[in-house]
Amino acid sequence: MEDKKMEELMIDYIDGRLTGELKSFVEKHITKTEENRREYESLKKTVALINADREHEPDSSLKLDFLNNLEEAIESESGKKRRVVKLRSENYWQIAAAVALLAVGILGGMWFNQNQEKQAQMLAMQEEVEATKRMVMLALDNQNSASERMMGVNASYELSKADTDIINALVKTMNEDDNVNVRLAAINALSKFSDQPHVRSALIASLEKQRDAIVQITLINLMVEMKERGAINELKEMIEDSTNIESVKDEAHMAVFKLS
Amino acid sequence: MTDEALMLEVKNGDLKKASILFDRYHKRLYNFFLKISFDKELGHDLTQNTFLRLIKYRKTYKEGSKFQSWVYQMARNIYADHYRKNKVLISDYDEVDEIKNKLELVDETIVQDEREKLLYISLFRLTPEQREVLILTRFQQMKYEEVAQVLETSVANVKVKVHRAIKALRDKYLELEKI
Repeated sequence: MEDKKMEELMIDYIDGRLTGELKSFVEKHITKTEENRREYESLKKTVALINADREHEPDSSLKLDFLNNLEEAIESESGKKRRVVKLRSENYWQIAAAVALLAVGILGGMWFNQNQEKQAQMLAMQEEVEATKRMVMLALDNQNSASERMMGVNASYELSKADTDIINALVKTMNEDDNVNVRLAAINALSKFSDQPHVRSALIASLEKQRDAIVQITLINLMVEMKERGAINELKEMIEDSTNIESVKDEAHMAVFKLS
Repeated sequence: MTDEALMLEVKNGDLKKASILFDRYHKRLYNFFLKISFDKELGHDLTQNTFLRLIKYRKTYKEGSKFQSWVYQMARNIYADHYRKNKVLISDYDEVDEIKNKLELVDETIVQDEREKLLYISLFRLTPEQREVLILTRFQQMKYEEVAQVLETSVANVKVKVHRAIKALRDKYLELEKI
């Protein structure tokens, strides 16, 4: 029998795949010469080594990165269907109610005097704003779904004027949300209200709270955009902080340079 | 719930179910990429790419086909793409020390165990095809039938490849032991 065929049979034998005559045939072959025995031993050793191999643990970042990617995929999916999703959500009734009130208001106004019309409109608009606000707050508070929270942040864009409740919820999201994308969205939403002093100071204060480079850099760039000289001290501290990565420090350097 | 049932739900739009498949398969795929490339970062990235591709091309999953074969075929393609683009893999000509450094980066405990270290260096000196077939059949203990599905070849062919790879590994190992 060819050597090659014999070696293959030996591996099958080591794997315990042989029975009966073939098995005793290989056994005989192994004991026939010293060379055959050495051949067998070396193959056996190799197979044993392979069998002893262990699995290596991936870093926990593998799962975190995956979850982020998954959120993004879900987000972009729901982005395509956003209008539909929104209409299907339970807030539909609140919005519908608000719209109905608005309609009633307008109709009522036609019948009654101008003053009454205005009042009804105001009331309806107020209702609508309230409904949107409730939706934002509810979504931001959803601990189970980052995409739900993201939707909340995005919905806050519809509010032309944000009251303290909304601002506080957005600040809390910016500083405490587990999901980087949600935090980034919260920063963007807050930047829209950056003409309000307490929003500006919350954004500045967040500089030292953020640990993710991408969030840090977004905030730093925002400071430059807002020409916020009040952030210079915090930026300098970021440059000093050895736990920050180089690219964050570089951005902070540039920002201090531009603002000074 | 079976892998196949989960994948069908993903295909039909329930993307969240992909995270269960991730939990079931990410460690195996990571080890597949790690042992074929001996690069931790790359292992991380390619595992990530596999699941991104799973989501992106979910519609191409055919009902009735085995999820494991499908996902491994995707993983192979991802590795092949990477290999084509960056032919930077350590070849036979690389010094033992260089491979050792690479292994140390993967896991510093590897180099402490002489036998494990020599095994990985030997593995590293095989061709990617030989490494692949060994990883699938031996390290990941997939059945020859399953591997034949992944590699789109016959069971007999897989068996021949495995035997050749074991012998090649044995030769590399003996060479190293002599040093």
